[in-house]
Amino acid sequence: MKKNTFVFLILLLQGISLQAHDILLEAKTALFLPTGTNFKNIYGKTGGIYGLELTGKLKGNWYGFLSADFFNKHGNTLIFDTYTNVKIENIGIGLKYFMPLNCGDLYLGVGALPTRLHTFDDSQFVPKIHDKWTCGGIAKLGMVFDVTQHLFVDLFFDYNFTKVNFKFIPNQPTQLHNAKLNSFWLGLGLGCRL
Amino acid sequence: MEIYRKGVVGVRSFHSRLNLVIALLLLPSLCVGDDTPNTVTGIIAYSGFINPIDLAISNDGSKLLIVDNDANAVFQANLSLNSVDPALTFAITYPTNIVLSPNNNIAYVMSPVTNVVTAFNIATLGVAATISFADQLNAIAIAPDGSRLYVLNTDSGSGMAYISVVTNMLVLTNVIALLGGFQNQADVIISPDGGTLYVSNISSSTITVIDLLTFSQSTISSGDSALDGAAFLAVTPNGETICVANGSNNWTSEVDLTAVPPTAAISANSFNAISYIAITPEGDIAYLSDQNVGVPSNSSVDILDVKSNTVTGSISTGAFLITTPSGITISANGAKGYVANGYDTSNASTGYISIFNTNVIAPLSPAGLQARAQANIFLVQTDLINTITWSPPASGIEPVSYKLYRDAGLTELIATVPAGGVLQYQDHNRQYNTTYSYYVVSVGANGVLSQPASVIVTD
Repeated sequence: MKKNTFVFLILLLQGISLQAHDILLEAKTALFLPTGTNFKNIYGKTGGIYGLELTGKLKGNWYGFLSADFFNKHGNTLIFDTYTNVKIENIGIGLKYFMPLNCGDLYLGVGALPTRLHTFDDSQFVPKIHDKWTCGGIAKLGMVFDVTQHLFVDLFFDYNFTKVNFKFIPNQPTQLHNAKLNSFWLGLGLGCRL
Repeated sequence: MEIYRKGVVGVRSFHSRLNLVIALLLLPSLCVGDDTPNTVTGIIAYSGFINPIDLAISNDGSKLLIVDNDANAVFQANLSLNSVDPALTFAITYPTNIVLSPNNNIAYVMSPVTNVVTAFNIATLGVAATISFADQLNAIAIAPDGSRLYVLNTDSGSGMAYISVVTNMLVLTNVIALLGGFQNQADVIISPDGGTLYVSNISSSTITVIDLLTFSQSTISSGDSALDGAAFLAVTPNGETICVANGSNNWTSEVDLTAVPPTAAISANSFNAISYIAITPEGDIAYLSDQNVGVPSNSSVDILDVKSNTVTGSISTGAFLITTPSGITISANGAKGYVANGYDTSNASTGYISIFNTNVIAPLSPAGLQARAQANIFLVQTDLINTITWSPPASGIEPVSYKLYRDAGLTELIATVPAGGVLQYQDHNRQYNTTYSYYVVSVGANGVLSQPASVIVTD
């Protein structure tokens, strides 16, 4: 993780703890819809992603959020049908802007998305494991519906844009290339206001 | 023993051409079924031939080098066409003997008249080295790894024989004096492991054994007439047996090197004049050039069963086909033999090469060989794969397996694929923008390889 991201994370957490009047904690599940062709060819067009998200009021309608998400799926390569598994761990951190409506609170958000990619390729001809951190970004659109005074439901539609760079090195047994993890997350969160 | 003749080209021209024309006209009718063992199947004729006397064949069986003593040349024949390529003729003065480097890039040719061994590049015809000797040259042998050339010399003054050791193609580094004085040495061969030299001694009817590690020498003698007139030698691939041509004594014999001390026994004594010997890669059969000087039509290539030390037959399908046999060689797969027929003084006809099937029947090459560049694409890496596919040969004996090589010399084995399964091989971890060559051979039940089929693919 880059140093700047880490500093930003600390500052934001401090902001939440000092200034928040309204804190939302939710468990999320979402449909993971990758946009990268290679990703879709190997792991399919859909998957499930799960996570937790903490949202805290900063000032006015501005909120900060901190999230952790986990994606795990296996698939097979085209033609040679080789088993492969991918795990993606995201830490989201950023800002949301809430717009109160009659039926709930609509929000837009944007943030950084430090991401760990872990792959396992079950072939004797390639290095089986690759593990790398990178930093992507996330854009959020959602609607929070209050069910009770403390419970709420969050319907969200996020877009994550993350590319993991692997440097191509000539004359190696395999040819490394970048991995595009870009995806839409269409999901539901259930949470409570603390 | 005269194993070369100085040229008398001019007086032969008319008869030579006449016989050549007849030979070329007869050629199609002289070709018999390819599968019949121990049969002459055809000839290689060429207008430049006068007196071919020694042969060497490339490991992949594609090229035959023909030493023509009177034509002052080494010719190269394309064995897929059975024809000489005139552009690959190497001019050299009165050559008699030839050996090839293990990678088949360099040919070493001996010229006893000039006492020179010339090393030339087979592909480019460029001279790699010219090695001059002070004394008469008798024979040459090359170490299995190509690191040394051993030249049998005879001191023209004293008559003493010795071995010249040549390294790095051109440096004369050592001389091994042969014990026993003047013995009229004729041939030198090296054991398959490169550790021992064997030198035939015609006069003393012995074989000198030189340990190349210690340079100690010993002598093999028979106690009877088995090694009388011992001249040309050949050693089996397992290094256990030496076949000996006893020259004008009209017999052959074998030396059992596994016995302590080695023993020699006569194989047969019904021959004309045995000279050159070629042993199959399996080591079970030796083919012997058996020349009847007086009646060339009675010449033949004789078949010696090495294990039983008995002559089991001969190859001679007519006066035209094997008349004046000398240099003889067997293809690396053991299936084809080639014998040089030198100038025939009885009817003043120029020489040619006879092609014969051995007792080994090789399968045909794989059919429909194809290569596809494919990629196994993972999320962060790609494995470039060349998929090689082929079909069994359309006819001939059924292969038991197939072998894939990366090189035309068939030295870099990639894989062995059983015949019963899917005839496919996937070559992983290839590189972008690189062209790869593959050579696939069929393997018969007797272990004999076919000629290779080849294919290239670019990733």
